[in-house]
Amino acid sequence: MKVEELSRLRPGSGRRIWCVAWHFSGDVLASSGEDKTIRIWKRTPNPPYFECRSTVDDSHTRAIRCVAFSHSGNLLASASFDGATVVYALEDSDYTESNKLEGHESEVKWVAFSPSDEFLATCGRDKSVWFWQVNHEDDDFEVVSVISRHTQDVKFVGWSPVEDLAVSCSYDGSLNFYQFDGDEWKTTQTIKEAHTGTIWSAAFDSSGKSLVSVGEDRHVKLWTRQSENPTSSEQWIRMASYAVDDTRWPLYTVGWNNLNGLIAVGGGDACIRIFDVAKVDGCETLRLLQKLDDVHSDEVNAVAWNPTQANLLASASDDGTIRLTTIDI
Amino acid sequence: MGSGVISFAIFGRDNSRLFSSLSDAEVQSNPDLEMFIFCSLDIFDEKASKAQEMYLGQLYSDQKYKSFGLLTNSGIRMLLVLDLKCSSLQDQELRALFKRLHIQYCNAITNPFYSIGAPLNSRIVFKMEDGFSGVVRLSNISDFIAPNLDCVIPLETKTVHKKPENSLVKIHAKDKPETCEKIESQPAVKISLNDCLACNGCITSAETVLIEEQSIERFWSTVGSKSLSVVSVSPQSVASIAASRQIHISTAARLISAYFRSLGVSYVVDSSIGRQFALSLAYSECSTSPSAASAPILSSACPGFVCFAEKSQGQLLVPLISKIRSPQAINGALVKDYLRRKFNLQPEEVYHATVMPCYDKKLEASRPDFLVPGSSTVRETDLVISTAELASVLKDQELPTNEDLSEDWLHDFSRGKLIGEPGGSSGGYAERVAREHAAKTGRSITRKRIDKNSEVLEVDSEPKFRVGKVYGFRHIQNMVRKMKSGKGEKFNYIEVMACPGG
Repeated sequence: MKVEELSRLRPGSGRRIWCVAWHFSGDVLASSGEDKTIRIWKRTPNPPYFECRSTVDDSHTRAIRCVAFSHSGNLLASASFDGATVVYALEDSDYTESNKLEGHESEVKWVAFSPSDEFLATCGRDKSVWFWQVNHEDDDFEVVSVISRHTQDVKFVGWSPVEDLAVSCSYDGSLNFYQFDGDEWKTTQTIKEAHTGTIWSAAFDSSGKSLVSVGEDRHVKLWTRQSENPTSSEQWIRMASYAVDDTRWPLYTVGWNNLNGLIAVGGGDACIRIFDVAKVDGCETLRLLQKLDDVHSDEVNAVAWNPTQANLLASASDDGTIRLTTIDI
Repeated sequence: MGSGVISFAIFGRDNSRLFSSLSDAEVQSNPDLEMFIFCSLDIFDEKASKAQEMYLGQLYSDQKYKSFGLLTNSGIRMLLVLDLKCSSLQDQELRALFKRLHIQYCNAITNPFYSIGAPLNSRIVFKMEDGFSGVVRLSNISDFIAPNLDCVIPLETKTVHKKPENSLVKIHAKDKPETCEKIESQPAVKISLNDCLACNGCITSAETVLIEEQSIERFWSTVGSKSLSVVSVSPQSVASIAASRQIHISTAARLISAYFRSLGVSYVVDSSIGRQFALSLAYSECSTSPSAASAPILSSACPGFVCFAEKSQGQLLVPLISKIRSPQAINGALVKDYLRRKFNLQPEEVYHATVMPCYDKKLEASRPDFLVPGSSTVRETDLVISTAELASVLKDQELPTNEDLSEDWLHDFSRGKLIGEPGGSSGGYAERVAREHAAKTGRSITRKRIDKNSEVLEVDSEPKFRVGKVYGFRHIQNMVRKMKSGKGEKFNYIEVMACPGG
């Protein structure tokens, strides 16, 4: 495996960076962090290959935990510890605030658009997962469902890339899956004690049939979908588990490359680990391919694979930098 | 000690052991545990720098144990080690447990014979067991509005500056005197139901206080001691009991009445008396209010919604909430004012309980707004019994025989005569307001049903008069969003209920 640093981006504030997210084109990257600022980075032909083209620093009053582009690229959403989620619309090649979604009682931890861009999911410390729907008449968002199935802080909510199916991860150690019944969002499956302690993040593969989750227990777990019947209570079952035993820090983030199948996992030990899924004796197992321990100097908060350039990984860290790393098998 | 709890220890700022639930010998005979405790202490330092509250959550886990920590504002570390398999203590319970242990610690160090930083030995009584007993279990409360995480009543209510003779170690207060150890004032902090009503931070304590103050057992023990006791029963409760026993509504009313009368209750009345007052006032409030600024008027009958409005959207919603009391509160005033005058009694000699379908009515009854005017202790409604509680005690109750009762309104309910009122499950405010406006203007009502939890009634008068029904958290959120953004059509009156279905 050949690993090279393509670029190192250091936003001025030097504060912790919480999240990075790619635009579908692969040429635009958004980042957010403790400095309450969203930065939009655009690809340029010369080093450092990415340049901060615009910043939004007046939409939130506390750290911005998460940013996400819609799949059309026309919208950008940010979730902040100030309890609000803000949606920005693309106007004259700039993202400007169009909607403020309030309702969470405390910190919003994650935000994500459904593959159809019809829905937006948010989750947070108030233990709830909210589903919002675009109202095309006035381009506003309406609450469709508020689900309080978790008993603790909900850290992450993510979507299958192929259908309106969402998963949430929580401090209570459980995974919840959600589907839309035409009227409301329903919890279709709860996996209790999926991890011991907090589950920090999860990611689907390109088919939407497999999911990896990572957590405080330093395990990477692989789940696969056994049945597509939404009424089945055992749609998802665990196929493999990998214990990362050379750290005592939580694993915070995971990204599944939808082009080449590599899985990147970032953790509190400042390392990024690259896995793949291999068949051993007919069983799917997780295989550690490489440990990258010199990318960051502090906790890795988010990883994101570029959607068009398979070997490019972006990562955000407490060390105040965004790294762009090329990883070739 | 609770099952699964391995050890509890307190360490000073310099990691010196101040207290351990296990003796040194016990710890040393278990090197794994000793190692584990040291590892956990390391993580204390790392977590402490990022911590935003005293409770640090889970610190560390290995194959056998997991540890949790609390760092006090004076740098004292409290470490709890649990068996890895122990799943009975969830975050909420652990927080409560640490709070208790912290209080214990504060009590222990206020002992004048104790010098700060010295090990807490047996002379300084540190009652571990108090911390572990009675960890309050969370139980489901039918509250569709999710609780906040933090209680507004902090653990310590008062900053007590230590007297110099109490401490050998000087605490260097820089610019903030709060950095010194906060000490529990005596007596212990009592969280009242009203505090909980204002916050809903931890359902746990609201729940315990509710169980204490508003239980049917409390009803049994108090009802006999008053000169006059009245129970107001909501028609929804009668209907529920009729349905569960599969009997006629008027039989159910007589059954309920016979049960209460057998306990010594003087009168059992229909809460619809109060509801009729509320309904008859609703339209006049709506039509006399200076329309533009104060519209829409939001119904006040649902305590869950009122609580939500005060708690999370105070500035926007509270001024719009109807000033009319809920049926329960009107009945309370009728009993504690009108009836007691009629019988020449003092308010404290009268007892008023209600039977209500909604658990949150218990919270409503405990609000200071509904104290008898001029009193700080006597409530207009002393106690609320939920339909479920009543149904469980009525389960084995025989159907009543006909009683010979005088034909006045105070006995109507006991004779099985109920006041009927059309308008759905939620009190009929929207219906009544729309119908009165339609009658006054001679126009008709058009209905637009959005889904099972929201409906719009529109009277095509000039200007248009719009009444909404908004049930459930989701629709309330969307209503709030529309009001904030100013988009969407304007309403004159909205009947809001926190529960889906009304």
